[in-house]
Amino acid sequence: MFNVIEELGMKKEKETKELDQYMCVFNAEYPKVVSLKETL
Amino acid sequence: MFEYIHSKKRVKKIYRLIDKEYKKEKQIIPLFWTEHCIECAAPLCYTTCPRYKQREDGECIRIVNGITPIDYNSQLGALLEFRTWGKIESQLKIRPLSGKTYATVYSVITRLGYLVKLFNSIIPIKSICRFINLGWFSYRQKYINYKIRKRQSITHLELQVDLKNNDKPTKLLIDIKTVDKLLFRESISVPLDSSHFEIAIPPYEDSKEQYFINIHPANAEEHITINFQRLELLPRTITIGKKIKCVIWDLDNTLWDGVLIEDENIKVRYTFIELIKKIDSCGIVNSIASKNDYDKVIGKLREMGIEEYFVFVKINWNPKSINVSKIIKEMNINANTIVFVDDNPFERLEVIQQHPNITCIDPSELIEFSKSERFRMTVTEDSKKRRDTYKMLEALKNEEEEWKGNIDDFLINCHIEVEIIPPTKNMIPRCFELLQRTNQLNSSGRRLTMEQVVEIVNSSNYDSYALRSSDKFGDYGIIGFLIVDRKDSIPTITDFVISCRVANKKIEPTIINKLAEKYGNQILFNYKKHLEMARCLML
Repeated sequence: MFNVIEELGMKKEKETKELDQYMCVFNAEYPKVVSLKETL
Repeated sequence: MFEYIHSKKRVKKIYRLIDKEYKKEKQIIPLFWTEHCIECAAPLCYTTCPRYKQREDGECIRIVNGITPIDYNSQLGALLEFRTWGKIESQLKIRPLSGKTYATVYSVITRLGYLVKLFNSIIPIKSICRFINLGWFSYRQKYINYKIRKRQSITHLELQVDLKNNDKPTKLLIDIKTVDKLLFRESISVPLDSSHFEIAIPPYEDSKEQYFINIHPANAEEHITINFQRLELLPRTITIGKKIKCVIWDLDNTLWDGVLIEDENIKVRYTFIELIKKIDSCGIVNSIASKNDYDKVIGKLREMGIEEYFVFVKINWNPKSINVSKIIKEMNINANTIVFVDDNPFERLEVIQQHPNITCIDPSELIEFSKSERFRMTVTEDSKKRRDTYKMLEALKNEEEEWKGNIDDFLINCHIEVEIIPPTKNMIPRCFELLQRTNQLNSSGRRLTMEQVVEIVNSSNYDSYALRSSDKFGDYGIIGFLIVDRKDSIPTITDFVISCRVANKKIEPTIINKLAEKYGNQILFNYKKHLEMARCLML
């Protein structure tokens, strides 16, 4: 899961004793190796 | 046990605290922690090292003011201010004492230590003091060795650490060494404030070798203060722990009586065949690590009608620890969710020294152990098909091994499809199961109850998503679950769990990126801190 943070280049937003919070900004260039079927 | 005699601070009623704290324990491995240096070459370094700072007994100070006893609400602990290159060290003997004997040994060593110190303070000649000290160092370990001489060594060990860090976040290393060789290293990330760690320790024991356990800051130049409220090596109770995901079987004299390559008329242990089928139906998979002839074994398993029950089978002449490592890597699960069954104590020791988190047991203990809570699972439609999905993962791994191009091309070639679906009523038990079973790939580490999951799924404050995945090898079913908290202006992913069977296929970043797009091009992601540590421990 930590690789996700590195791979998407997430920035740490805030930090508490228990928690790190990251901000993910949509990246339209992210390689489409997985095809998504959305029912969002 | 800590050596407190070099600290000027005293704790009132220390022997009463020792009694109170340890008499209640069933068994404890007697470690005696003393201050030391990671670069120690005493006594030569006392004249050459610029960092040498003389202690009153002539040794070098590596812990400022010595290991200082602290009374934490009637619990005896130690305050350690590490100087650069400072560490604490104990000889490692994996035989336990009863709590009562441990408390006696601790009190005797502490009393005698203070007495030796007093004696040294009235003797003006340094060389005599040094002679007395050397005698004392040797005596106290001999005393411990004498007390444990009739005790059985322990295979499953756990270092329990309670500490408070008011200084700065740091990383500590736990090493096990011989005089000249590092055998084991584990790292723990220590945040500010209080933390608790349980670290599996490999059982090293050999009458011809001395083993030492060390703890020191990962950055040897760091000057840091840590309060150890508890630092004890205890037998690990194997019936308590993470749920079992895989049982790795030896074959000869384990799954059957006899040695297959010597006599093909082996006698099958039918109780184990029943067990294999039973746990398989609950979603616990079976694997094999056996030193044997591959073709003969496969033929025999086929004849017995159980060949299909095993995944990631390793039948070769490699050390068992190498085969177990491969199974762990290929299945992408943590060693603490695995049971290794082997009749040979040598093989069990060899495996647990490489994977101290694993549960290694003799076949005679297995049936009883399988009745423990660690084998109790929520059975869902997906868990019944778990073996099939691991078979697909196995096929994918085999293809990946042969793939010569880059990983993205390989993944594209696998035609991975992920469906993101609001969970229906039928999917909720599987989403709940994922939250319970997933350890490494659980972003919050939370274990929500079924009621909480149902409430969240039905709440208008949250969006929740089940993830279903398939690739050219087959359908993996529901492999992930996500919760998005929509209460704030920027939504937050509070929980994200994904099955280890689909990890490292770039599904997780694709999903988060998609959710960012959906929620106004940005989304927050909550990530529990200790998971970074878990990742570090897995390296």
